Amino acid sequence: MELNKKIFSYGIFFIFLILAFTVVFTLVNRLDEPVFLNMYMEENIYKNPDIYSLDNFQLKYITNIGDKRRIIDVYFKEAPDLQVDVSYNPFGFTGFSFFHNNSDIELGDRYWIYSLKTIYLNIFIDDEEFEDIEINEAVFKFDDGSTLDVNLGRIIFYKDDNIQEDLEHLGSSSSSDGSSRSFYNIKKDIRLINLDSPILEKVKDKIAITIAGYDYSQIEGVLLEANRRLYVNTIFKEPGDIVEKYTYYSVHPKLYYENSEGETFNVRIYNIHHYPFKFTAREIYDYLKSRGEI
Amino acid sequence: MYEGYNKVFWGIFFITFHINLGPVTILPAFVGYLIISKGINILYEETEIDTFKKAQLLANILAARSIIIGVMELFSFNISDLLILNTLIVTVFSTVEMIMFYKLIEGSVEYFTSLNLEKAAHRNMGAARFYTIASIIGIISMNLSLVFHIGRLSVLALFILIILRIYLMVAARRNRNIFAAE
Repeated sequence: MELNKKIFSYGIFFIFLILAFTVVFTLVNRLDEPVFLNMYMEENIYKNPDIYSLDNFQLKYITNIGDKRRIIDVYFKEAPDLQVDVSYNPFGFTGFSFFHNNSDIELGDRYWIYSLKTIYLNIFIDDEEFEDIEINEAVFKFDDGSTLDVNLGRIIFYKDDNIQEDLEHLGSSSSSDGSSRSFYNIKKDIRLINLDSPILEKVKDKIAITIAGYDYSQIEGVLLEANRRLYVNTIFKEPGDIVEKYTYYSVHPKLYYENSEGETFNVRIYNIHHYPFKFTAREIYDYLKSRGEI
Repeated sequence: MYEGYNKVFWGIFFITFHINLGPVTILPAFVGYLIISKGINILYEETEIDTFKKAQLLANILAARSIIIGVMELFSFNISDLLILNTLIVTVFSTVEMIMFYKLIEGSVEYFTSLNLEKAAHRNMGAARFYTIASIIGIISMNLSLVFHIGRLSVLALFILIILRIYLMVAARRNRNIFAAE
């Protein structure tokens, strides 16, 4: 029985040691406030059919497990007039499942002591003449009356009403490694000016873009002859650290050019993006640590 | 002694297998703990071994815990929403249960030794060892799986804890049968 007593005493000690570790871990690593994944994005706002709108714009946030507050309203500080509807289900989703209900979706996906939740926004712009709208700060209102100010990064809503006829888009392809290629038929002689986007500076180390074989920073003055093909190759490199990996990037830069009549036009380059899609508990923990949230 | 071990057997049965009639639980867990407490009390009265008294006290604590949790659930207060509190309660009371059964087996070893029932005493000693080691693994797995949400670990913990309850039922029945001729 002596051996049994030893096993018993050491066992209890060990149980309480692990218990102390888990309790301390949970207390030390609790979030004070939900943490939203940052976004550096340009989003095209379409007319749909008589109002400009963006459907199912996703935001993801990490909160403590057991935080049952629901976001019921969102307001953007830089654009208080935007009308925003918020939901934990994609708008227009009419599916029915025996195995999932709304409260499951609101609980989010669990990773250790955190929950990763997704909200969907329908954004309406009731202004025909709107210029690019840049969003940095959002205020989220929860169903318990509390509010949260968040710096989301840089989100630029634009409407693409630029009409040009010198470059005819023929096709594009993209690959899961982050690379894409677009090709155009050059209808008239053009001279390239530059490639520009408000968030190009933010992502310049993470992307590579070649236009007609030139790096995008060296295209000024490049002449492209009519009836030839213009190839634009882009790649979004593998994110360097966990904060980049869990940040949304989507750049739609404008390629400015001048045609033979001396008129300046531009064409948007798409498919330069990185979206976090696979999450693990360890990475979420590292992400929160790197952002200084825990 | 027969009656004591018999009550322990049925008590373990009722805390392990919940019998529900629709949404109503016919025999809630606290009834099981009270039956175990009653059984251990019989063992104490017949043997006057203090270890049984300690085990009975722990059975009463576990019964009180089950009543409190049951009342809280009745008022829709779900303790599992509070991660730290839930982890503390589950781990501490699982350990209390482990100590209770350990003391029960320890008391049985003392009693069988005093009766010179070497074989039964030896068997109970082995049971205490197996039960303690497996419980420690089960409780630690449960604690870690509650916090870190590791599916495989929760399955392991659940499997160990169910097997242990069945193991204890078998052990109680074997001890009971020693006194079958009484």
